[in-house]
Amino acid sequence: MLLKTKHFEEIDIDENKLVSFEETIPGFPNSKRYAFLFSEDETSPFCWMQSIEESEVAFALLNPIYILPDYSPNVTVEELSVLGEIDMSEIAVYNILVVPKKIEDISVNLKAPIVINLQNKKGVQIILSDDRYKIRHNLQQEIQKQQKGGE
Amino acid sequence: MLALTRKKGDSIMISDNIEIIILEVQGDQVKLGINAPRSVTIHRKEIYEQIQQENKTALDISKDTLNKFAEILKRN
Repeated sequence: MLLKTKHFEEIDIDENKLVSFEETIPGFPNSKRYAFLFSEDETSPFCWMQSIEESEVAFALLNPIYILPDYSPNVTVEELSVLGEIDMSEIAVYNILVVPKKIEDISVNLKAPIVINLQNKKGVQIILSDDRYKIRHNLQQEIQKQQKGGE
Repeated sequence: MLALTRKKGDSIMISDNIEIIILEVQGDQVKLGINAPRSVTIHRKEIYEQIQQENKTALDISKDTLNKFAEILKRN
């Protein structure tokens, strides 16, 4: 199907690959289905979550594995029950990025990750009760911290 | 909105599987107990609103900056 996107004009996507958010993302009650758009560059830690219903609604996502390999939120199977039957090895976790003009201000929302059940293509934004993680985790500081640690 | 007045120890049933209990009342602080299936999400409203607001802020993406950041990550 042809999809009008916010950042990539109109593209053709496979309707079977859409992810459905029965519990919609806080703030966006009218978007129930999203297309996940990946870069041709397989090493990219970023991807996009484009709303089908509202072309203006598109989120840049970070796959946390690339920059935050220790990110391990405590999520129970019950908290994910809105995603149906879960096989914990068949879920994907992404975090929404906030990308202002200044690169020093790029942050990622670790407190409310996007969790997807890869088996049935259902997704949800979970608000973690885990106190370790912040809504606004600054990425540049994270990179600098990691670089210092490596020396 | 339904407004109910309850005393300490009283309960409210929502649907047939969510119960809100007034555990303690001390001054202007009320301690609530909530019994609900684990599939029902419960959050302090402020947190929910913060997430909502952050999601809305996330719509305004500077693609230039994102690309620059991607370049920096590649170099490392």
